Amino acid sequence: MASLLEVVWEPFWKILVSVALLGFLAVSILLASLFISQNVNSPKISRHGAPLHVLIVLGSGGHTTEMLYMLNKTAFDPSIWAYRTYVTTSGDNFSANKAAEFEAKLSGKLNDTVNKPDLPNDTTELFERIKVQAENKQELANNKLNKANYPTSGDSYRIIEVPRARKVHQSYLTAPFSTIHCLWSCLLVLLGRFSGQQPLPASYESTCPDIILTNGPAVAVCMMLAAKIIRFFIFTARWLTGRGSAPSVARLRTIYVESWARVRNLSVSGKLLLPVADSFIVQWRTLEGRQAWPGMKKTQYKGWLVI
Amino acid sequence: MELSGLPFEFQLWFGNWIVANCDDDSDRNIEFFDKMEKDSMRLCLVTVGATASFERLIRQVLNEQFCAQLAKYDYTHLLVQYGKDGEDVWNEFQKKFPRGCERLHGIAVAGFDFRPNLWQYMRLATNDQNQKLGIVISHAGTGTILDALRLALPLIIVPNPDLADNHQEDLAFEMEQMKYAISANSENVIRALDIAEAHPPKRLSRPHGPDDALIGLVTDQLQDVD
Repeated sequence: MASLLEVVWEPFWKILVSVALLGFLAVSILLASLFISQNVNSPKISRHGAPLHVLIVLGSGGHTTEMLYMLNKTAFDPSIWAYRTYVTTSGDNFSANKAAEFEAKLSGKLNDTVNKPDLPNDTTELFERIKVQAENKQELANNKLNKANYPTSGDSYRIIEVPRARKVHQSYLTAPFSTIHCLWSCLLVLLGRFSGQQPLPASYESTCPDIILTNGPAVAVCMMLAAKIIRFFIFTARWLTGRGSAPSVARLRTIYVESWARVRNLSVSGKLLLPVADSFIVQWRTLEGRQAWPGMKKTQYKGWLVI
Repeated sequence: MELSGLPFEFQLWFGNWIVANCDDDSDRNIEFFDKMEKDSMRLCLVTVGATASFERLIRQVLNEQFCAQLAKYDYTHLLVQYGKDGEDVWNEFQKKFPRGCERLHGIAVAGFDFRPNLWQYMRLATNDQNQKLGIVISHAGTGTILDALRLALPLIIVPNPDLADNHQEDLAFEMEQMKYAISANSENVIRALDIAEAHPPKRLSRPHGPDDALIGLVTDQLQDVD
């Protein structure tokens, strides 16, 4: 009679070997697709002057501030960056307000230069402004409570609030679940199926944005992974159906700008996204030329983007 | 400073607005703004940010010795954003040095916990009209450093040693190398002030990087060929 050990051992090693093989296969596919994705150029199609849908990820305070400095500095043409989707995390009204404030400025000054910092010309004007703010007690109360006090969508923009990947002080045990929740929400946003999401104008053929612009909050990691997952499925489907690997229009291209505060070491988000981003920008020479592993894309230095 | 034409209520309101969380000390803030009106103002703004507490820096500036040093260099005002957990130090300071206290060497001091936008206060340290160019003493927060650069204000960066990540110290070191700021630790703020007076940091007169870098990146991604 076979001992209990022998009875258990036989299926046990079979399962072990299959799991190992499947894991190896999954890791190989992952590494191969990351490699292909960073080394194959998107199709060369003239889209000069075509309206773009740009998705901008705003995270916590510091990241939002830096992102808005970048947007303010960039005198982009609102007829080319025609539709902007801002993604913020739940409860972060600071970011939502900043985005709406930026949009208000953009629509008010379409013909004016938008890259000038929003400063009054002299101190008297500054005092006037502070006085107006002080008189408007409601606005003051809103500011204090950090409530949303701007419209969350307009003709050419919308602000979407997704759940946080990890709340401050959240346990690391439950963090993986909330991260998956955040990733799932990001997938739905990109596919245009997130609940309560303002639909895009009908003139856009795809719900997917053309460009995703991020600079490091946790939700950026989820958003860029979500974009890669969608691109992986599109790529695989085209390859399996024999329609060639290249889609006719390049969408969901990701640009990651490392925080200006990072001088010698990449941030955690940066390290995670280094093999994922289509374009990885650093703002200090010391970080130029880094790559996830040999053969992958290198970080680029383009000067300071925030000032 | 053109404040004389404004009604007194406004000044009071302004005072209360600045320290909305400690209404009982609005007197101190009236003093602060009264003095702003009378003298040609030279402001030292100290900020520690919103996220982490930085009691050590607050204690370094809210004392007699630091005010004496400020007075030596013709400063008139000290405005402290004391942040999270800084209120105790602020209240302690208020008790020790009540309004009009001579031991502060004529420096008017005001404080508040946090505001979403600090540039309005930083603006008070610039040298337009009849104010003199002041100084900003800040934790190594990105927003504050960038605002100070943008307003061309002399800056002393004091990285918070309590933060686990040392990237703030890297940034402070690099800024000092480029001579845009003076890097200090929370023990030698007075010495950093001396250095700033002797050799003022370089001022950023124009934008540092190209304006269209982001647009170029987007175009590259779309492989735009004409």
